[in-house]
Amino acid sequence: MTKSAVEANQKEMLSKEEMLSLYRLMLLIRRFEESTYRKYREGKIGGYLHRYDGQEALVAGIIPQLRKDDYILCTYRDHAHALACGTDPRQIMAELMGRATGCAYGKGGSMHLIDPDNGFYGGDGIVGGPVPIALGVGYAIKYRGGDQVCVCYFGDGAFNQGGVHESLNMSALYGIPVLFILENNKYAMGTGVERSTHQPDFLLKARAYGIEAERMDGMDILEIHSRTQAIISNIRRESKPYFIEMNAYRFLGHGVADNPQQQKFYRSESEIEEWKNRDPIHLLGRKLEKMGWLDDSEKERIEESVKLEVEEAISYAERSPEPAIEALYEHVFG
Amino acid sequence: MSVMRYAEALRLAMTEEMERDDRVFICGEEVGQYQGTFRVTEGLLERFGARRVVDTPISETGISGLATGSAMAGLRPIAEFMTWSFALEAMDVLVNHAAKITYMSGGRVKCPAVFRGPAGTGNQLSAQHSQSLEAWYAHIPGFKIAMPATPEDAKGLLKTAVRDDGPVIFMEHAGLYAQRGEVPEDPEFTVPFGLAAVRRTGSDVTVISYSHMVGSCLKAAEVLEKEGVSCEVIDLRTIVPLDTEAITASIRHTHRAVVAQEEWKSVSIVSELASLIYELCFDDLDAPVERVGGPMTPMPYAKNLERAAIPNEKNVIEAIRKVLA
Amino acid sequence: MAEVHMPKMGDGMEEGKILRWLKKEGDLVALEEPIAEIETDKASVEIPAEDAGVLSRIIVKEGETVPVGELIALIGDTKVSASVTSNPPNMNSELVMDRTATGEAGTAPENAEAEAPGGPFSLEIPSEGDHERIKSSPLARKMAETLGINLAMVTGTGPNGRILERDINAFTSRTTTSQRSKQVASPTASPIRPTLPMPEATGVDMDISKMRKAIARRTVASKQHVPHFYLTMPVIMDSAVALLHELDTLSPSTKITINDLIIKAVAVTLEKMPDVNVSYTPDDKIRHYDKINIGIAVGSEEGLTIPVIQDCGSKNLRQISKEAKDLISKARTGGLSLQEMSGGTFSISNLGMYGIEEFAAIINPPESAILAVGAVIPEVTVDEAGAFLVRKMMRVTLSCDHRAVDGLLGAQFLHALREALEKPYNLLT
Repeated sequence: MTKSAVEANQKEMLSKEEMLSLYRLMLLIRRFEESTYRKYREGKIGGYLHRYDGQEALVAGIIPQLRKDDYILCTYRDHAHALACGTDPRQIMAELMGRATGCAYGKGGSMHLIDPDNGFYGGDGIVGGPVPIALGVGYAIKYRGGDQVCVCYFGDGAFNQGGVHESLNMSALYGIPVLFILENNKYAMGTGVERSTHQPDFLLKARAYGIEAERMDGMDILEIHSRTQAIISNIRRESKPYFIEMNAYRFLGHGVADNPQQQKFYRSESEIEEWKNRDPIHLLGRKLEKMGWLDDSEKERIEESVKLEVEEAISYAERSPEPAIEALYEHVFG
Repeated sequence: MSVMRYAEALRLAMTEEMERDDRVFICGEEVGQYQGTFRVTEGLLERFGARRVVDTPISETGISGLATGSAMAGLRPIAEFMTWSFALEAMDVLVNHAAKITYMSGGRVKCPAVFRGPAGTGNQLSAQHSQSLEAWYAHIPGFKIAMPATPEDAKGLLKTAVRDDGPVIFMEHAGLYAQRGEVPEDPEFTVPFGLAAVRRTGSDVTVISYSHMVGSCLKAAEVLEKEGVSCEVIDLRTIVPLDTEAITASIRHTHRAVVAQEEWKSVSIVSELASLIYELCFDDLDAPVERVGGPMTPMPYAKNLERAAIPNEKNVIEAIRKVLA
Repeated sequence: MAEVHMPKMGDGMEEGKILRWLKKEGDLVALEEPIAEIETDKASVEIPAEDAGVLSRIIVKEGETVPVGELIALIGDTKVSASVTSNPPNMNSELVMDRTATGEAGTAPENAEAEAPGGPFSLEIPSEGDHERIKSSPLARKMAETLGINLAMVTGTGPNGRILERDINAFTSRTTTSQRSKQVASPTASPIRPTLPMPEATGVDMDISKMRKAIARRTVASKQHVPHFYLTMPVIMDSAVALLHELDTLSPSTKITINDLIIKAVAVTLEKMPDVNVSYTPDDKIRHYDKINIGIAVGSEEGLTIPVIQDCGSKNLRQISKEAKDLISKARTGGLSLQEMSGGTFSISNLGMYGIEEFAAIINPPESAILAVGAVIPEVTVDEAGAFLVRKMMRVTLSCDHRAVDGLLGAQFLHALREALEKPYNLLT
């Protein structure tokens, strides 16, 4: 971390309200994801369903501090990113259920949530997909002389796709304001990093392209929040890419089909349990309790308000109409 | 009007559009300092600077991402592929991103990017550099595809492509870059998409083609004219959108059709055109539609083999004779 | 692949015996066409095919008895293209033309039948005996239809003898108007599309029903392919009218009409003269029908339908009357099933109730004759003694397919029919 970043960290301590709101956001993401699984099993959500359980801090620690005119891109594990961007949970749930009121009018589904009004330029069904796009989005920022950033999330599995390397090189070459967030959740679907990646030091790779890089504890939202503040303002000022490897973990399988039985082929229950001890929501909850900013009744109050919000999203989605059949042929061409 | 080469007409189109709209920029391999592999972008770096004429590494995925992402964020990029053969490196960005983002987002995000470069066969470039792959893109909903056959269309269609709100596959033909022709100087001159040009009127047979092959069809028509055969030659100009009206109107008075292009014949644009003609003009046909296309082999290097693999006016003449039998 | 099961032909039936396969493996089968004859405990009956296609496998052999519901054969689901439909017995080239020209190219025969009032035999319209499909370009077929040209008369000069636009042009310029008129349909049976350019006068082109289109096609085909000739016979109807009056008084609730009486008379006459109850087949044979199935032409808003009274030979006047009444009322309300319009072997068209004295009807192929019945009108006649006498007279005109029913046979038939009607009490048995 640069010197200025440390200073920023000290300066910008989060208030109680801010911390509680991050806690609430992470809890909203967790409860929302849990509800998507219920709705998936009821047959109300189709397609693939990739949940973000365990990785909440990666989005909650960064996205809320961005500006409305910044850009966020990510892969198919994208419900959390949309929620963090401020997309209405009702529109997200409606999209998941293929309704006309969805954020993509029912045309995208789980992997293609999108909300340009809130800077969210989309989930992406291709693991390395968002990285070349981020290069272009970032170039547009630079081209217009703006000071926005483009935050691009992608996974450890994506790093073995060629387009990622082309784009890292070009973003450094042109000085493009992209914050690359490597969501290293240790598994490319069912293949562990050590089995897919001969050189598992991702920082080394980013640095090889001349991109400043650092690693963070993906379970600790306060660390992420405080350390990325300075990084983001640096990107705005200097217009160049930055790379963060998040040491994170995927509590659940790759998708719904990757159930606990399936996961036994590639990881142990004890490994999962070990990571769950560092559940980012509990971690922040305990800190807040220690600081005296969170007690049981407050916890219950937050839990209740999150529950209401998720239930409202579900009932809104279920009440919403399916897209008109004419929509099939709409928006094919630009 | 002034006479200029096809390549110059393309350059004129880009220059005018960049003058007109600051959101328009060019990116690609050797487009700037090198002055363009085929000199299409000659002088543009000097005129518009490195911000708007971006030399890229040899990274087709990166180039396509640069164009797609910047278009999604509101710019109007023109990405040049050194040849369309190299765009195969970028298929995911093109097919799964550029073509679909408008649809996937329910129209909330658009991708007004132009992807251009030379396509087509010839010059003993052999298997990996000499091919005509427009059918790949035509298969994907979301792309518009322009393939100009004349300098005038090169300018007019490229300007329309830049102004279009969706991704456009713009395939030039290396064999046409040096061709000269009259080009309107009016900076507001454009050629609309989906409007075919009747290059020659005739009454016995409709010959449908586009790009470089239009020339072969016109030559074939000249040869057959001496035998008293009157050919109507239609240049489609854009594959998507397709001017089905022009095709059916012509066949309704000639009752016979030949479709010709230098792409591989199987599962091709000519196949698509033939089946479309059967669907739309069945009762008007007096003979089965003849397709002219390349043999199902990779492009060979040896001159004699290459000649046998690239359809030419002789093939068109044979096909016309066959439908007139 | 459609399965053919041993059908339950009656309430008590539990098993059936295959008496005879009427089709062999590989034969094309039209919808409703009989494929086998089976014997039940009551009777022997034909099983009609419930699907069109190729009889791909016979599972139960002749002479074997199987329970109701047992699989007895398979009918292959073939997309019967115009070029391979040569059975039953042959797809007529003119029909191919008709169907393609009206945008129904490739329709399986069952569709064509479903809309043709004549039922299963609608594809059996005799052709010139040419088993080969006539090769012609779509354009040539369209032109031939518009000009009313029979493609069989045109020589094709295209690849493989295909008839092309130029061949139609050559044909029309070669054929003088008078020559052409011989093989062009008569104006009363104008094709669906006008044979000549439409006049310039303004008007509204109304869509017509499928039924009217089907009738248009069938009448054109009949007039173009069946050599019609006509015989008219006056019949003294005083006795018949008196008999009907008598019957009416006896049982006023079940009124028997002149029409019923004529149907019965025709049935009785056909029994006597089975040579008229026939069809001329495309392979130049004359098929004699086992049963007398009489079609009655019924006009309605929708057009013409011809419901069929099955097996009139075995039915008495009251049965015929009752069935005729039912069928006519169903025909007027559009409630006829395909079955009820199928299998006719002879037809009757009666316009007497509209005061028509006499007229000639178009034969309903593949039948060989149709009887057109005029009104019963009091006429001054001369009796055997040379005295003037007012009699109730009716004129009937028989249209005959000359290939099957020639002038002599037709005349004999009418003579016998007159006998039957003039001595109507014999019809009561």
